[in-house]
Amino acid sequence: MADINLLPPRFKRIDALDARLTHVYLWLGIALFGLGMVIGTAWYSTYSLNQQSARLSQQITDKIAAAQFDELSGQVRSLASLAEEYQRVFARNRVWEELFTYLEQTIPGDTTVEAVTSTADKTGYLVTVTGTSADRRSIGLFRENLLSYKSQPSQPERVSQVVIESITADASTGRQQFSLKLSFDLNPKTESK
Amino acid sequence: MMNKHWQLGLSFTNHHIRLVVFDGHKIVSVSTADLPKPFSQMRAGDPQELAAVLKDLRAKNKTIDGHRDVVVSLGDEEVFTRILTLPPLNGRELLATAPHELESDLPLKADEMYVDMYELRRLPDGQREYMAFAVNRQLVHWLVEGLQAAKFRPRAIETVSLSLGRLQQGNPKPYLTVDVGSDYASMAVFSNDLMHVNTSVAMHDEAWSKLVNEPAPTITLEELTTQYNRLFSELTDNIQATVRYFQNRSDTHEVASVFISGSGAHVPHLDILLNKDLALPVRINKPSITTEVTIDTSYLPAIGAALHGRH
Repeated sequence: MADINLLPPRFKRIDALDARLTHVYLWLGIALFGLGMVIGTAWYSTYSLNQQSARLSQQITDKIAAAQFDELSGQVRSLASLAEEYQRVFARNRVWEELFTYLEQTIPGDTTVEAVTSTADKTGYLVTVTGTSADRRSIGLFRENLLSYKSQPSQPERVSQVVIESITADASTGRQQFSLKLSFDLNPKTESK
Repeated sequence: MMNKHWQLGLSFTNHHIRLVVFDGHKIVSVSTADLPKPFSQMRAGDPQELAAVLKDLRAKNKTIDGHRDVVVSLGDEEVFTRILTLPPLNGRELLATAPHELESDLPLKADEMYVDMYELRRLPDGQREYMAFAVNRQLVHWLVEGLQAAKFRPRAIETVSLSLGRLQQGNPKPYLTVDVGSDYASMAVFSNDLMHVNTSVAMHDEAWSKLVNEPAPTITLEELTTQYNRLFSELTDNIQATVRYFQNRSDTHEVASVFISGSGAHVPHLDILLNKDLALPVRINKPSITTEVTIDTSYLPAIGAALHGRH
């Protein structure tokens, strides 16, 4: 039915405005919905991307950590061997210090040590002590003293064997030159004596 | 398509005001109130008189509640209708031109009327025919002030004939509506949901007015025919002239039925009398929508108004 409206124009304008506003609200609603969808999609994409990035980052971190762990393990292993070497050097130095101290303490009064050399293996040292003495008896005493060497009174003896390698008389000085070989044990056991 | 917006329909006779409450689906209630003086006198007076009647209606009818939107159906005697032939113009130009075209034919100056119109048909020479409606601005201002003072919001003002024609909206064949009151009868022909012709005739007869205003008038067909012969002769002549006018302008369509309404429609045998004179099926007009209350034909214009803009 064709409708008419004889109200004054200002009322019709209000009606027309209402009708237009209805459309405005409708379009505004659609626009807001669209905007919401766009923002939602963007947010979800970002969120999803962040999640994926985080996962990837975690995976990368894990891999790096694993690689670093392997590397560190290798380094630790290297350090372990270095430590072993250091321990050996340290132990050797300590032993040498002990040995020299002991040699000073046990050497008989008419005997002098001219040289101390050593060769080392994993279990200990083969130490060669050369010097001169007034007689053979002092050399024998020196050998006995060396055999009873201990780092500490409670510990087992470190020198497992002392062999008189040579005794030679020096006609010019009238003294006896000697050479002793000591087997110096790094890890002595009680029963090893 | 109907929306769910509540809308009130208001119509006037010379002595009564009728209100219909439509909730968007069905007629919820109807109310009527006596006017303190004839509408023809009231409309020239203080709008507060109208407001007082409307406030009283609102107070009595609880279903109105806070609903404010109202469409007013004015009697055809208050609204002038003319067919205008104009060159193609846009809406603003039409509404600016039409009052000046109408003032030569109406007892109103261009600046004393509010006008609305719709296109009826396009002519072979490119011109357009419009059905134009004009109403006195003073009447509209009086109505608007009265409605607003009673907390109503006027949404539209139309004519009784358009309100009545809306009740048969969608009818595929042309139809005639006849609103028979105590003082006037108006008739209109509708085709393709457009009102094509609208005329009215005075029914000034003291006996007829008295008969129509009886709550349950009793009269035989013979008494009706003999006592009101002059009155119905004028009525049927006018109806036939209206129908002829329409059919002369329409090559292929003929009026197929007549729907009567108004306070005169409940006068016994009126339908038979008109059927005999017009040789067309005559029925009491009624709305196709659901009603929760019993309605009589006097509420039909208000019902049609309540349906304004809802199709």
